[in-house]
Amino acid sequence: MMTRQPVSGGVESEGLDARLQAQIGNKLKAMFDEVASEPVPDKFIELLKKLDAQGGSGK
Amino acid sequence: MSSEKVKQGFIDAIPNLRAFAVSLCGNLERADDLVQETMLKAFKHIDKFEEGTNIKAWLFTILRNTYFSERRRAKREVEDADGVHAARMAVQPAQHGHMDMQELQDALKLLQDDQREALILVCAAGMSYEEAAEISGCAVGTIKSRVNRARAKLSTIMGIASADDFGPDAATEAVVSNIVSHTRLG
Repeated sequence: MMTRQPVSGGVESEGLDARLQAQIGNKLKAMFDEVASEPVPDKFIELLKKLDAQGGSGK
Repeated sequence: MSSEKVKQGFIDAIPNLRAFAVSLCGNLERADDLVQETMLKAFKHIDKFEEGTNIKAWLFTILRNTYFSERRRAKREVEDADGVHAARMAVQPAQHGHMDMQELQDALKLLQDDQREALILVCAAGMSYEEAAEISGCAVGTIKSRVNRARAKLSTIMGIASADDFGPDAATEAVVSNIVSHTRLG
């Protein structure tokens, strides 16, 4: 019996699909964490300082 | 007149805001623009923020509102670009087995906006369904079904491209066990 079908359909599709789902979840997290783990760029710190100086006129 | 605590909350939220923005729009430069716009708006409306409530969720909400309102404006253009891209992806499944970040970004772009957002908030940013619902301004049940649909669609889009990621284990195993069983039977 030929079982070499793509992920959709087929006897093994459920197990494969669960693994694919897990893999996609991991990739999504990795994508997010990659950026989230970068240090805050200086330009944002500068901007915050500027905004704070403006907004806090009544300081 | 922002307190130190709120200010610190802003700074602490920036890495997550950037990651959220990149995930949404798929482009770091554009993402940083979005973060900057978010900060400007947040400061402008700082009086609307209730101290002690979830500042991260508040900032995420501002960012996604900014992103989606700009996106609605540019919708036609974007749809055309996505259409071309989708066509290219359909003809050209990934040549290599590795499902890299670019492939994920490309696949994300093919999702509906609301589904992509829900998926990113829950599966990438680790928000609860409740937080995601608050940020997106919809019901918790809506978020759940969006996440499910996004997952299903993403795995269809990426299924073929990433099938090789399971081999040599899964793919060859299946073939080998097939051959073995055939040999035994024959």
